[in-house]
Order: sequence, then structure tokens, then C-alpha cells
Amino acid sequence: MKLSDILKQFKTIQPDADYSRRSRAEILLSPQNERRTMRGVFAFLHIIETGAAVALVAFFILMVTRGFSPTRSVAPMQYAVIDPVGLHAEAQAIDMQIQLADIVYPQVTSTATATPAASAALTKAFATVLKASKASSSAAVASSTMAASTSAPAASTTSLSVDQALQQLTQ
Amino acid sequence: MIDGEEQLIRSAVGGDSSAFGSLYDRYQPAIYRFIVVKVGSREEAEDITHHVFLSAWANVGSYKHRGHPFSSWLYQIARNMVIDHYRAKHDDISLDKLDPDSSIIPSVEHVDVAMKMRLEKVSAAIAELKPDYQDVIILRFVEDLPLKEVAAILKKSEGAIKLAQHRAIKELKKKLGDESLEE
Repeated sequence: MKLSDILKQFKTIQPDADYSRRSRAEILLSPQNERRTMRGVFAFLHIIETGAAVALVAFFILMVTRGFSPTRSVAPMQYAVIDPVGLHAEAQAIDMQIQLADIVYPQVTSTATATPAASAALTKAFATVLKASKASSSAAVASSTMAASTSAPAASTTSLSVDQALQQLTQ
Repeated sequence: MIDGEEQLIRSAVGGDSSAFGSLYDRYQPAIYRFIVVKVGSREEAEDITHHVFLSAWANVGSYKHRGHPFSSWLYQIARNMVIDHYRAKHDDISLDKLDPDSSIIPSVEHVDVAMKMRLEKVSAAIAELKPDYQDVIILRFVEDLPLKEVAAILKKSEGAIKLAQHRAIKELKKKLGDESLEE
């Protein structure tokens, strides 16, 4: 006889009917309150667990994509506020003003020492520019400048525009 | 899954006792058989089966359907209960220690005396097997469950179950010492 056929005979085993009835009734009458409370607690813990897992994964992704740099990862907002292009442009503009000032003053001194006529013209132009920009203090500055250049034959205090002054300078 | 079982499970999970009662009626005999063949005693099997369904009813609210039959979950509870039973008992099962009045064979119906004697012998041999081999033999040959379901209950791969099945039968035949038995 095949062993599998003998084993199949065990399937005819049945529990006692009285026992089954009693057991069923006892089980179904058992209290359920604790079960529901615990289900709520486990559901809450499950939500916390899921949230923590998502946050951890997001943190690691951030660390990987930003190259593990603590300064970049911890304080990204500080860098976001600063516009490096704007800063660079501003810095360049400041440098240009300084360069222009450096160019002007040597020219004035060199022309003043070279020819008296050109020096007088330059003095006139400089005085005019000062008048236009500084209303109150320009008079004193201009007079002192004029006093310094009284030796020039063509010296006068006629007002000129900036363009005219520059034109005279080129002449 | 058996027709209407999904609805019954959903209702039982929601706390419907009559739905769980229907599930009890459907699965209690199979769970009892699984336990009684393993422990070899009707009284102990009745006690363990009661606790299995008591635990199932207490925890059915946390049951999640994972594509396996509801019975898989019950078999897992039953396995754990039997393990706990043996841990608490610290006792080996042997024919000498079994109470004759508590033997499982009288509960086998519609078989002649010769077959009952043979079943007694096979039952004793099964009791001497490793718990994993017992599980495979009962689930595959007594309950006739498919490999996939047995794998889900025992939390092993189907390949591992096939291998365990082959070894279990070989071991059982060796213990029976009956060469007339075919595989």
C-alpha cells in the first residue's frame, strides 16, 4: 500500500462535536475592547514609523545629491540669498570708478605742468563740474583753484557743460 | 480563496463575531487535525486548538491579506502554539508515554481495525520526526495543500519545501521500517 494513501486516512479525523460547540461559544464571547485599543495604538505607531522612514530617506538623498558637504546641506538658505553674479558686477563697477579717478588726476597734473594754456582750460572745466555737482561747497573749492591758476592768461569763470569741458580737454 | 471568504474575513476584521464564527466552522477541523497528528493526543490537541482560535479572534483586527489564504495565518498560529506547548512541557513523545485513551486513532472514522493499527504506527512515527518534517507531511499529504501554500505557511521557498518533503518521506519510511510501503 502506498504511504500517501495511508496518510490520507488521517484526513478523516474530526474533532468532537461537543468540544467544538463549547470552544466556539467561549471564543466568540471573549472581550474585544483591548483588541480595538491596541489596534489604534499600532496604527499610530505605524504612521510614525512610516513618516520617520520617509524623512530619513529624504535626508540621505539630499546628502548624496549635495555631495556630503555639511556647509551646503545644513545652511543652504544663506547661499541662496546671495547673488554671486550681481555681486561680481557690482564689484567690477566699483573698480571702474576707481580706475577713472586714477586716470583723471595724473592727466590734470601732467597737463598743468606741460602747457599753461591747457592747464587753464582744464582748470576751467574742473571748476565748472564742481559747481554743478556741489552747490554749496563748490564756490570755495573753485575759488581756491582759480587762485592757484591766476598766472594763466586765459583764465575766466564762465560756466561750461561737461561735454564742452571734455571737448576743450581734447583740444 | 473560497467564495464569500473575503467578505467573511473583512467582517471578522471589523469585529463581527458571527463572521469569525463562520471562519471557525470552516477551518477548525483542519487546524485540529494538524495539531492532533503533531502532538498525538486528542486532549492536548483540543486545548491547543481552542487557544489557536482564541488568539486568532483576539488578533484578527490586525490581520492583513497578503495573497495567501486565511488558513495559512491560522496554520502559522497553530505551529507557534505547538512549539510553545512543547517548550512548556519539556517532554518527548513516545508510544510508551502516550495515554491509550487519548490516542488520536479512535477519532479516525470509517476504517477497519487493520488500518487503524497501521495508522497508529504511522502516527507514532510522525511524532518522532523533526517538527519541520511533520509540518510538511501533514500539510502536503494529509491536508493535500499545494506547494505554494505550504511554502507560505512554513515561510520557506517552494524548492525548500520539495526537498523537505522528499527527506521527510524518506525519514518516515525509515522509521516505519516497512519496505512494502511505496512512496
